[in-house]
Amino acid sequence: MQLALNALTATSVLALVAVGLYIVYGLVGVINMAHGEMLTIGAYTAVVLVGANVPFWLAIVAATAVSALVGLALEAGVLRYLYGIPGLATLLATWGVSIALQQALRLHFGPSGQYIDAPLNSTVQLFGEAYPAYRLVLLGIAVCVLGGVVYTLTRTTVGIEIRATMDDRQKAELMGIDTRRLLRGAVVAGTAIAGLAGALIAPITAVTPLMGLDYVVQSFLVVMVGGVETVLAPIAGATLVGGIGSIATNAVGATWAQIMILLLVALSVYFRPNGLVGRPAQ
Amino acid sequence: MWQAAFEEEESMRGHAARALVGLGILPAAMFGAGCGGERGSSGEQGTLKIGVLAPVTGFMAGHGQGIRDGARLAADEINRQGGIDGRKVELVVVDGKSDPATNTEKAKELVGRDHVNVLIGTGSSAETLAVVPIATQNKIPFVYALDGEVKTCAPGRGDAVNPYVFASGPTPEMLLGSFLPDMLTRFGKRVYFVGSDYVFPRSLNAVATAVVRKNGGQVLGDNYLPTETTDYAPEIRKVLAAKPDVLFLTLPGSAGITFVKQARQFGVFSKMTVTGSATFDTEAYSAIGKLSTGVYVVNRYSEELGGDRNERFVEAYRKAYPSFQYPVGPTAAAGSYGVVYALKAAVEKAKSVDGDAVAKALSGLSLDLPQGRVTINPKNHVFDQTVYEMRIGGGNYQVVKDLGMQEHPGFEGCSVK
Repeated sequence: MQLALNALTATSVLALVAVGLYIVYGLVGVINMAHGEMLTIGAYTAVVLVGANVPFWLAIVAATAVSALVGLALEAGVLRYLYGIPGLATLLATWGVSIALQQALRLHFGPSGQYIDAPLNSTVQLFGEAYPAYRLVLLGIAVCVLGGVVYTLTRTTVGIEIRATMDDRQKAELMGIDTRRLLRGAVVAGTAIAGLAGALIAPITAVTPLMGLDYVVQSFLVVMVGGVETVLAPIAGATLVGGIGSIATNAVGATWAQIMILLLVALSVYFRPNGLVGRPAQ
Repeated sequence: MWQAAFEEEESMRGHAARALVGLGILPAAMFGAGCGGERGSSGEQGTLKIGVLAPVTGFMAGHGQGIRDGARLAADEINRQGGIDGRKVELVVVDGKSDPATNTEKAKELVGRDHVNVLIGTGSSAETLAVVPIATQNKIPFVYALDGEVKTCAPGRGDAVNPYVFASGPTPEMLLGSFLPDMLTRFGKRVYFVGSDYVFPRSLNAVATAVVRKNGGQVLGDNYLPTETTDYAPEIRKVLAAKPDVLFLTLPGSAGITFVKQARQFGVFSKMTVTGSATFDTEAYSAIGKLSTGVYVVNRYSEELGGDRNERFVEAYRKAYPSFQYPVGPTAAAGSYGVVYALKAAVEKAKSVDGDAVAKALSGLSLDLPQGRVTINPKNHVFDQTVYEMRIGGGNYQVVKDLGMQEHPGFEGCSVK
């Protein structure tokens, strides 16, 4: 049972981290290399605020807001000049932003890990086994946020506008949709969720200037596997990379599990280049 | 503290990013060549010139700052008290950037242009290995700062000593040889090992598991995880299921921080005795010091050692660096502060700053340092020293037990080829 819970929490955390990348890539078409640093900024915000005796849950909200602001600055300062420019331009530009943010954090906070205590350190008895309460809370929040994203994209006017823009920006604009504002909103939402994720995982991961790297690599795998065609894509991708990874680690050890996951990713990209839950390749 | 600990971890992260960063090395080195320390010449009767290779930037930065600060404090103290028989101590501190190639470059500059009499410092094992040939060829004594495997054997042969290279730190054999048997006696014989999946944790745990088995212990698990692992829950579950008496973690850097944070949530720390190497170092203290109360470690130095010599050192260190808020670690105390004092003693003994004379004087030298009595073993040039069993608590490393003087067996594990 704990096996399943571990797989579930791994999946949900990863989906939460990856969903922002999915929104920005799927909607805006930008491969945001600085996505990991949005997570890092969220985590550092939480560390600083909790260190200043701000209650943890309030710090989480603030971290989300700070990352959203950084996302706004990123969009207004860098990304909007790059929309529609094909090739590596956005990748290199956001990579530059990523390195600059990493080094800025390092200059200010130093290279070593930061301390932040979890708001909950108890375990709860679940199916006869003790499981950390904080992980369950994490799972709950992730499910709610992901549910919210799916709901917004499928059931609201904004969601329909967003999906219309994803399909064809020009036609959407002709229909009277303000795609400029929509794109900006999408970037801000994507980075805000990344910041939220970063703050939430801060108590269970090393908070260092490079922490975003490990997560962003996994998130890219998630988006590659899931594709961008349906809103369930990042969840499907995260299930493969995070959930199956967790179970495989248990069965064959972490290093073999990683080899397996990467092989599965390669196979999935080969056979279903549009994503696991996208249309099959033509 | 552990030489090899961090290097490979870092190299596994973002290869592409590092490749680009690597391009920055060249202009930086050229810039450095233009504005290094003042020119001077060795053999100047008045000074002992020490080249300090401190990786104050890059992934060893935590150690590098300790190396630099410890050496500066020692040099200032010695100069204030009139130097070494009237000779002044002059430091030329350079940043090795935690990079072997930069260290080669900087060591050459220190020797060829700044005419230093001795070299000290370096962080990772790869940095040290980059400096060994330069020191050897130029007959400049080189005392390296951090512990780790032995690099004092003569190049090309593993059974003879390199006259110019000295190891200040204890080796895994010295640290674990008495510590692990004591853990087994006190807490039980069932031990579980978790490490990061690269050379250093595997080679260290090879020494550790051998000690455990030799002392009648049982190795329940010996597992390695990629350094970029973000979720340790599956491994933690295995540890809990195995119910070991002792959990031994060799997870340097951020891997250890992540593991400790997650394991604590699963209640691991209340169910077994936790210890390890390179996981609970001073450099990780900022992140997990408060979470690691009750964890056992073994090392050559703690601020809490007591003793007159150590108290004077700690007081001076805190006064010189008032903004430093974590326990003063072995890197600063033993890795560079102590080494500068060892050089002072050697120069007094040799009555000269000549490389050959100082090297000869270092061999067999015995002196009191903040960490206790140290003797530079004439056979293998590793500092014979006392190691201590410690327990994390009260914001520092509390000394539990003096494990006695340790001597490295010959050139076992020498990594100079």
